[in-house]
Amino acid sequence: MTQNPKIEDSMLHAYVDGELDHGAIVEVEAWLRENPADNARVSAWQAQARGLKQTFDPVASEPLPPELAKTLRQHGQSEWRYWGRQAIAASLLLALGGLVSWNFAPKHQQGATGIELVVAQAMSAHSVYSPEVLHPVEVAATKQEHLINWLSKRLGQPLSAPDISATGFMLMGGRLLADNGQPSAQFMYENSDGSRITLYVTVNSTDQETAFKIASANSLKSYYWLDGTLGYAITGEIGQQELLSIAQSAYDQLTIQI
Amino acid sequence: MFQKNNNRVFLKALTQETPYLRRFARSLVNNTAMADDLVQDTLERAINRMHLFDHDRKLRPWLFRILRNLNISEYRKMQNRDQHIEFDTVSETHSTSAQRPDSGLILHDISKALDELPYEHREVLVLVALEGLKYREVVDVLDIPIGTVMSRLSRAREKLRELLDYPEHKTLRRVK
Repeated sequence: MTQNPKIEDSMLHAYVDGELDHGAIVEVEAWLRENPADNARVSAWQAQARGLKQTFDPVASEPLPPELAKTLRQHGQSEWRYWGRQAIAASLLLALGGLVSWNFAPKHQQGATGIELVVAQAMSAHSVYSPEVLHPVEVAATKQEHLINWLSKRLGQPLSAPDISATGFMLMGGRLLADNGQPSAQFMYENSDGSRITLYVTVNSTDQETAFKIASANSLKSYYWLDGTLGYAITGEIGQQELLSIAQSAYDQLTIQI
Repeated sequence: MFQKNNNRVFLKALTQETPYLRRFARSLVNNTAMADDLVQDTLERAINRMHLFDHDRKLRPWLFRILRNLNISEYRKMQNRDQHIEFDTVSETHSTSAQRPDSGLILHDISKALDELPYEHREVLVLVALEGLKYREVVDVLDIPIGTVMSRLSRAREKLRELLDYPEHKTLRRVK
């Protein structure tokens, strides 16, 4: 009945654990068809694995207990504060003239398509849309779910609008932007004084991640960074310290998602 | 700048791995609070040693190794002590645990069945069957030869098979 060579137990385990190549899988399956006792053992082992997953997988979906989240956040923030200080120390000041020319730079020089372009576009979009009285946003925050879904779809990845209400700024809504043929997103926030700040989000096409940086042009300032597949800039005409704390709050929510 | 950026990438990855550290800890340690303490210590140790992490390697086995070593060095003692206390104080109501499943009791609850395994076997089983680590990765996490991984895995599985009565057994044991 068994013309197949004897399959060792270690092969059966390797079969269950996905450690075999195609040829070996065929061999083992042929063996199992002929050897019901081994087939039963393999089935039992597979059932054990399912039982373990059913029992313990839900743990991985639970929200993190506060102490663990705190440990991660504290370290994340101490890292962050360090970069924040570095950014301020570096105090990368940009003239508005330079900003405008950046906007058109990528057509002529590929080198400017990195993070400088992100902040230039962010500041440019902020300057254009934040003074708008009638149409500051395309989709209002009252339709936040639609807004997020729409912009996520256009940028091809999941976006989120951080809640920075603790700093007094409430989400007004957002709009789709076109930057050199690429879709980007702008979220606008406003406080009770009528000051507005914007969060600009674009696809990070550079393969790099960066620390926090600051750019400014006259009274307009922007904190910006590249993280994974996205680039961000928080822009506003408010005090640097205030903008920093807003950027920190946004960064924590966007980057270290707990 | 590069180093700082690496640290941030590391912390982000660590945050993403934490739910899986919790799952692993819970499969090793029955007490939920103790399992989370173990994860907490693992996070702190990982953060303190992040400069030692080789970014070309996978983070999860590296973290599992830290967690597992901490469990051995710090927590196993406490667990054993607590278990003894528990058995001492509630020995009356635990009379069935005195007749171990060796005497034919069939368990339906896999976490109870895990408790019946020697710790070394349990550890290998959950790394492979729950966490889906490759055998090579288990070798690295536990620092034991592949042959030892295989023999512990085999014993764990056979012991669980004695202990557990999954309905699948019967339906799949048909002869063609």
